[in-house]
Amino acid sequence: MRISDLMLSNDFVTNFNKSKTKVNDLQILIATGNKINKPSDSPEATSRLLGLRNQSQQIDTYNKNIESGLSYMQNTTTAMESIQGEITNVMVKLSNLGNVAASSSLNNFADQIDASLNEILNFSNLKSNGKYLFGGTDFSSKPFGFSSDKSAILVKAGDISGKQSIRTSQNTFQKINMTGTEVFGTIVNQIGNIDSATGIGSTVSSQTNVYDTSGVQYTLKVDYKKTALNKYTMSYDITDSSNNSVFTQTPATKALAFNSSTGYLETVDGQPPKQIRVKPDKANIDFTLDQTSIKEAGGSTSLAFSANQKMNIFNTLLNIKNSLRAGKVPTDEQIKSVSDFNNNLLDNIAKAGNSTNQLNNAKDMLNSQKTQIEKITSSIQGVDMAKAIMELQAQNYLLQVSYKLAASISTKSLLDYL
Amino acid sequence: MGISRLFNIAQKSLGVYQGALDVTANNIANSSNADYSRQRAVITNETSQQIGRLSWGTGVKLSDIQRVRDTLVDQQIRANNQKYSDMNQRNTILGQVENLFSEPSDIGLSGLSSAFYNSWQQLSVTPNSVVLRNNVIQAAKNLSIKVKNINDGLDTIKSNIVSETKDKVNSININIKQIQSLNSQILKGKTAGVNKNALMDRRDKVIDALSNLVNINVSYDSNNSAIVSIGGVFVADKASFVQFKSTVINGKLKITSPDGTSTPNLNGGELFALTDTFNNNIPGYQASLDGYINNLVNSLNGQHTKGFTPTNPSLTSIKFFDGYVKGELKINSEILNDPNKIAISKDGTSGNGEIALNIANLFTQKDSNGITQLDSYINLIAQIGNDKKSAVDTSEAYKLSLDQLQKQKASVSGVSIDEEMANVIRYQRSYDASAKLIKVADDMLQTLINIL
Repeated sequence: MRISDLMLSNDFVTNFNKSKTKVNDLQILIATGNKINKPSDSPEATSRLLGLRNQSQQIDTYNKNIESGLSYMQNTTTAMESIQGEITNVMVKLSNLGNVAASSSLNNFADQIDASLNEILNFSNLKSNGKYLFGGTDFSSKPFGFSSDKSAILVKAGDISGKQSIRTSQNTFQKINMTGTEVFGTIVNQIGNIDSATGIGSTVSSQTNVYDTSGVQYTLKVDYKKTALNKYTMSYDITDSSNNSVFTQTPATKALAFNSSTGYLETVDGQPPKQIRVKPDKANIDFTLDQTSIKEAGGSTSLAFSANQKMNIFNTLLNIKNSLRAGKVPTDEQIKSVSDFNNNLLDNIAKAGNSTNQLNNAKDMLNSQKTQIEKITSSIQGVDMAKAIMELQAQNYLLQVSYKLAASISTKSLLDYL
Repeated sequence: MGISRLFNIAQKSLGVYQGALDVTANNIANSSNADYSRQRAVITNETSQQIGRLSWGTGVKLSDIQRVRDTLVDQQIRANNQKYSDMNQRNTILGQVENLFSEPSDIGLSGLSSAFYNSWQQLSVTPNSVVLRNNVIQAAKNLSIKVKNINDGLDTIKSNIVSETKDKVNSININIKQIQSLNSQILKGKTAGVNKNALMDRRDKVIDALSNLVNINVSYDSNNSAIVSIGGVFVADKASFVQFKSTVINGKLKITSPDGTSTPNLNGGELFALTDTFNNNIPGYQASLDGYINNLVNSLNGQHTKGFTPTNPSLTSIKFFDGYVKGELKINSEILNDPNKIAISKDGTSGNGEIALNIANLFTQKDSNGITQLDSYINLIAQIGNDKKSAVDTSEAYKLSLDQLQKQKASVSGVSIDEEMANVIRYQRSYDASAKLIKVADDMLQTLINIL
């Protein structure tokens, strides 16, 4: 091949540029510590990085959610423990009542119970992070308060049964509140089976006693009318001792559908089964009707209620206080009601503890996921510094050789020997 | 036959070697001129004379000054030039597009989208917090600004392409004109017997420049006139030439003759890179981006309109985004004025954040085709990355073969000082010898005169 002078200098410039480009690339690599600075550096790695980055940001958010959840749960537990402390006081006092006869002392006890009641009421209306602890998902007003005539304590908020859930991973939710219904509410459980052989058009009924805030007895009647295979219309009513309804307007009926093979209740009005809040307008009655556990099965109909509806703790204490003021010692039923509430509360404190543990577990899991993601990210994105620096040194060496070479291009030609 | 013949031969040879030295001098003078093709003095012997039964040589003559050039290499260089400059230009434009998206980083659209959806996630935990509601609005604003930046950036790149295309078409027109004028000069020179090597070098240079801009086809007629066509449309020969203009019709950038009748079929050169990215690549990216944002707006509004506000009375059927119009993502102005107009309660209670949870889930929820919003965005970025990467890789490949071809060209047409110096010595020696010959002839003549 004929070698012209232009070739020598062109070759040198081309190779020199290549070396310089490599040095430049290596310098960027070392300076940024990132292998991928632009999508075109590696489109497939960029795709993975974007996905991982999103996951990592999501985990950060889940962690923040869990932090909020934990602090909310902590406050809820503290409030419940304080209420439990007051209830223990009340129970000690109630057991001491047997030894006291003087009505003046009863009045004294009434004062103490009144103080405890007010404390419990205060705890039940506590807020955390702007949210009422026992207000369900309704923060528009305090969950509990006195009626206008101060004769009873009523649920003031529209609905205290709302569950607050946070997402702790893509597909898992964790409840972070104890609803007002769970802690303070009174639930009437409908249990048992409806005979699947019930003829279409026939009605099966069940009834139980319910009480208003001052302990007056009423009757709750629930009817299930079969409309089609596995389908029923549920209607209910509450009547007083003279058999008059306490609803101005009869409550709306519900359409129930049972699973044809398992017999479990599947939908209510097309939605997943939900408890029904019963609150008639003509009496101070407020409780939750839970019909979600009834089944349709072969055999005879065996509908029943787990228990009579009890008065809630606020009104029980209010009634005990009023009785004491009137010189009467509380009834055994009232004392049992307080102790039942205490047991329920202890249950709920344990449940809250479980939830807290679950949140902590979820947090641990997220942290280990995050570590994993960071590991993968750095394996895609991270620069092997030692390798990069060695390569840079090698390139620098080549560059120096090139400089030396440049100095010797065209220095000698035939011209020098003439 | 006389001594004067000796003088004749020697005198001719003096002239020839002086001329040959001239050519060599010109080569040496142009040794660093990359566009120069080395020239060679073609020295042949003169026609011999028949005297008696012997045929006598009559000396030497300089029959031609040849340009040393390999036209096959020229053609290959031009073909590679078209591909290389096409890819190189794409590389520049796609690099600009790539930078607009600022990926992979926290300030890219994916990071901002994640932050936006995560702000809903956080709001779902404390739905009545005005601070978190404002966070959602701020994240939406950041997203909206970035979307606008990208769209504005793409528009700027497009308008830059239009003006750059105009400039390139102007260069093409100038080059075409020059080729025609050089063709005619070369033809005139040929008839007048003038050396046209310099003109041919210049014409090659112009044709090379043209091959950078656009895909061309060059052929030579019997008069050595270059006949050039661009994408199947004739543009120049020795007698006539054609000019072009660039226009944007229905959002498509086109190159046509001024009357709009002939349109060259572009497939190479910088001009092809400009028109192709303008007509295909960038609109493709814009459509993908629009698809992503529209999907985001519709799915989010779909959830948001189902939600209830914590205001009294509670409101519903409120859109979070007014819409996505002309590259602008507009947030509902009512929400901007009052963060409590964000409707995330499913049942109307102020502490319910189910709608926010649903919204937070939209980003990574698979649609009917099994693709999430995040996926569709990642696909767009991967597309841009791949387009750029393939432009870089291909341009590097063409650059390699182009370098190789330039080397071949330099090997054939480049000047070698060593070679030229050897020629100088050779010609000088011949010149010396010829001069000596004159001296000898003179001595011989002197001898004869002295005899008298």
